[in-house]
Amino acid sequence: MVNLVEKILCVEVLEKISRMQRFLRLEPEIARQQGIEVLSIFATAIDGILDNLNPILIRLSEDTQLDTWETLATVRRLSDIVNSVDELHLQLQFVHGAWVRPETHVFVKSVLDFIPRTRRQEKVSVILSNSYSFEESDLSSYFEYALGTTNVRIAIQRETPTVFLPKIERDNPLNWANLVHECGHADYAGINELFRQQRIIPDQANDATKNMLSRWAEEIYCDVFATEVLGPAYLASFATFALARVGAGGAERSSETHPADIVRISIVRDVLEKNDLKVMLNDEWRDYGDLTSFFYNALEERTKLDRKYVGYARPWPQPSFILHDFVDAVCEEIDQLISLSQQLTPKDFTRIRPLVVKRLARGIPISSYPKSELQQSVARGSLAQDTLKFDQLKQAVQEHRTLLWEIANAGWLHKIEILYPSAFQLFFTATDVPLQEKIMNWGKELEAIDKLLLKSIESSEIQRLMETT
Amino acid sequence: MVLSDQEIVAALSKGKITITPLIDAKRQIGGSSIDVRLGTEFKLIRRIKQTHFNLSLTKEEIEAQVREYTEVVHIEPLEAFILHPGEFALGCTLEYIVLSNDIVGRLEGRSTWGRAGLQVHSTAGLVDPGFEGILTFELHNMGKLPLPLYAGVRIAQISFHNCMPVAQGYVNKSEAKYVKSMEIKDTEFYKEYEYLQIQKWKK
Repeated sequence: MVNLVEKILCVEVLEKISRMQRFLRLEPEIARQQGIEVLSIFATAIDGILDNLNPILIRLSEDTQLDTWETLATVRRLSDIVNSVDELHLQLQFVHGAWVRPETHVFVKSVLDFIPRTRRQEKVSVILSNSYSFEESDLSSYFEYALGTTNVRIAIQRETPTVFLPKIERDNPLNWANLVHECGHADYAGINELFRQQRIIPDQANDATKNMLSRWAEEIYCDVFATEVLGPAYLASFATFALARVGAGGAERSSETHPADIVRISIVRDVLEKNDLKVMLNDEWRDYGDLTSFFYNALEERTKLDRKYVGYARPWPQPSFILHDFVDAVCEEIDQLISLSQQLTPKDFTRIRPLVVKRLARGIPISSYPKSELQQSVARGSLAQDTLKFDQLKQAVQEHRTLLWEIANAGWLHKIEILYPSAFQLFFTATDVPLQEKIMNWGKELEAIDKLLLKSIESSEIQRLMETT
Repeated sequence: MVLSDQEIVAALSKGKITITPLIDAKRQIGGSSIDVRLGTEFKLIRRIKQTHFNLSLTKEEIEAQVREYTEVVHIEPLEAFILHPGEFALGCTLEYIVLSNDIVGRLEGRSTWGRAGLQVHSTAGLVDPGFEGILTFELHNMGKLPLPLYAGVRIAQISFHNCMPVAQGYVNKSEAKYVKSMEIKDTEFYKEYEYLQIQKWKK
């Protein structure tokens, strides 16, 4: 497929815009009437962003390969547009919006269940954030600090781990995968253990570098945690997030708090490969391999192109010679340290496509899936007359509970195999349909899959409760 | 004829009936029905701003009026929804249900809850052949004490009947308003063709 990565980037931007429109519609009716002017500013701003995006959509609709410089210009422009959407997201501070969905709490609770009981936080709060970023913070410490600046000292004296979810991702379980990483930060005991041995920070580093590397080590710990909880779905979600930031060397840029995205995603890929956690794409996408390589290769391709565009050596904020050794040391330490209460196995992944993805494609929630072999034998065999045998027949039609990682991975496969082609058809085919109308139709498709996944997450949790009691 | 337990199991295994999640088949499949569970979403009636449904309004205005008429309440697992005596609320099944074109469903209450005064539907208990979606409960507490309702509790049952395959299953009907629904939908009486005619005549 020509210009696949550019098309994916466009679709991701359009998805963000569609989700912002949906979030604005969540305003209560009365607020909508009184705040109509505020909402109309958002509508006008979105129209302006779309005017900037439209020439790219028209060019990509021509379906001829972009040359190198055209590709660089397109990606750079898309990056600007992503930044404008993120900036507009920040302005959601001016609307009331809505509170976090109950399904989000169910999701976070299911993630926390992976942390052994002895070191698990009882509760991690979730708050919708105005900035388009996923973060974790101890709100109690923050309150103590914030009030302390007024010279009124208070001591809350408890841990209140809180994760922040961008407002427009409120209804999007596929990108809640990034919340799993943030929940890793709430594994305070596990992270403390990581630093106890003092083996991972190089002696030759100065204090500032040591401080930075400690933060990086924590980020890597959370990446490994998220990968072991969700499998390839975490890489997919992280990579689409990183892809949207590419254009000005984003994926290779590290900061004081985070290693470069490309470094982190390489680590995630290595963990997946080591554990042999793989979900293949369907025949139509066979050339792209599996879910992991699809997104990893897309990001790597973009990063290589960026290097051509940014024609100077970017200074690392630390001596680059220690990076590889550091990453190796951290990963080795985490490998010995991380012990989750549940462990994904390659065998688990074999049932996703035939049983779960198939059902999702039919528009049926995937909180559970049938025991296919047993059902077939029931269908073939004669009906049992004696009670004991009949009870066994009943058991055969009972369904397995779908686990969180199965829902997430099935959702990502559905997005690549069903939603992307549908969006490509919608946005990259020359028609007279106005762009706003196309986004509205795309928004309906997104809403349908969101609802399916939300229902699946919730029903799966209720099934767990019913089964364990 | 009503399907027996053996016929229900056979229909489930052949995919003529899909009920997902089917959490505890041994307990849920009865002699001639399957128990279904309460979901997490409810809609309460909010009358404070309504005098009546005003049909002289435009379709969009009536839609807004209907939206104002109900308030969505979403409970989390292990959180109770208290239905007070005399209260009416819409609820939904936890299960997503798919019927083939030759099976009709009938939603009924369960005796256990009926004795406590809980009515699960007032009038709309028929599930058409070819239906897909969650089912909506018209919950009414006819008793004298408040009822704590939890998601996942078996409050109703569906019995099934065979019929000749229908020419057009529910999902394919142009008039079908509650197709593949994953949440409780408000009434859409104003979309019925009779009401459209009445509105036309009134103008």
